[in-house]
Amino acid sequence: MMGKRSLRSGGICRKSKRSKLHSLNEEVVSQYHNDDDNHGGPSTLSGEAYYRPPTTPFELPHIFREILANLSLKDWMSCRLVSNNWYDACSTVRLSNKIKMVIHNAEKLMALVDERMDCAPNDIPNIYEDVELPINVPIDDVPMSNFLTKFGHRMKRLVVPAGWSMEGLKNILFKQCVNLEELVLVMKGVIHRGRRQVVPVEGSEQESKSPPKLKKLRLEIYKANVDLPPTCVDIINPQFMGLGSHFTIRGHRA
Amino acid sequence: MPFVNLESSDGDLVKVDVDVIKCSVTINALIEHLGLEDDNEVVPLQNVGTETLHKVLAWAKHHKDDLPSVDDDEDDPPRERRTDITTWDANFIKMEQIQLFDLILAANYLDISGLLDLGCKIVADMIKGKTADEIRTMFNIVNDLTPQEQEQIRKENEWCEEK
Repeated sequence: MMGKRSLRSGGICRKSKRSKLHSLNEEVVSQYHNDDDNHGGPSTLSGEAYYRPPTTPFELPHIFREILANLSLKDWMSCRLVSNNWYDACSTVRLSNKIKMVIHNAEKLMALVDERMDCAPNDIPNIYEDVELPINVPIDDVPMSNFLTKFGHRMKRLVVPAGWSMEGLKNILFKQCVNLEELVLVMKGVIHRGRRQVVPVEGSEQESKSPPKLKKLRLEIYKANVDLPPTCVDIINPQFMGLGSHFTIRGHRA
Repeated sequence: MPFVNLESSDGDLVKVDVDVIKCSVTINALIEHLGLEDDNEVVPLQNVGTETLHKVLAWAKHHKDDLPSVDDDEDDPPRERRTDITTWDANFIKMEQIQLFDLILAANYLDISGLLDLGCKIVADMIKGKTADEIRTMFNIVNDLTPQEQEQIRKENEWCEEK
């Protein structure tokens, strides 16, 4: 257990232990090089620094980033395992259109908020911007609440169970995830074409404020026990619906 | 038609139509700011060899009528990466790895975004589908990650899913 713990916490500490290379963390076009005394600074061997032009595109951070940005997530993950240099380079690349974090169950959620367990993937850029939360963990569960409080401000898209309480959703929108741009509510059930549906969120207190940055609220309805794509309902202007009242929306097949 | 004389790092002089090399921000800026109107003026390119310079000029000549690329705005979300490479570009870029790297570095030095993008896409294509071991072998990279670090990275990777 100790070994496991030190291994996992090593991921958090690695960033501070490892010295970053110039080429990956500074917008420099060249490096100074000294074969005899390679401290990454100007050579003092003959009293003068000499310029060593780059020989590969991986020595230039902006080119390295451009190369990595052309990769799929799977290839990007392979690149993280190449070397320290490549790992650091991968940590500077935004993959916002390719990456999301899916937390399948309560154990994975615990792993993110409990330091005795697994470490959070802090070196993966924007991993917390698109998060899918487990459907079977209540919003008032301590790990869930801790997770949203700890990482909520980094989220831009969040997928949650539709059955969460209005109080919980208000906490998400106004306190924990203030930078949220898209909230997706997932439910199991049936929605009929043209019929008015009520999303099962509780609460009656009128909320006058609008969510700070929310641009899109989406309801995804999965048919129980059937592995089919969900029926989707987009609510275009969430600021026009009182968040304290029921979400009354017109259903249609997306 | 105005020309500019470019001198490669090998000391060779190449006379180039200004219209062809206008894709290079570096040379364009030199021409605009220094006013290289004298035909005897020479622009030294200390980081570009003759062979690479000819490659760059072949690409520039083929693309001289292309519309200028639009710069990314830092405030905008990252643009969707284009994956299309024209047949001409695909044939042009078929070369040894060392030549490809020289071409990318020259495109960077001369600030030719179209050629730089092409080179980056080709290198990315070389990486695609390969394991970390295969990437190391291909680019002659030493693995300085400890087994513990590699295990840790694998664990972190498990958090990520493709959208």
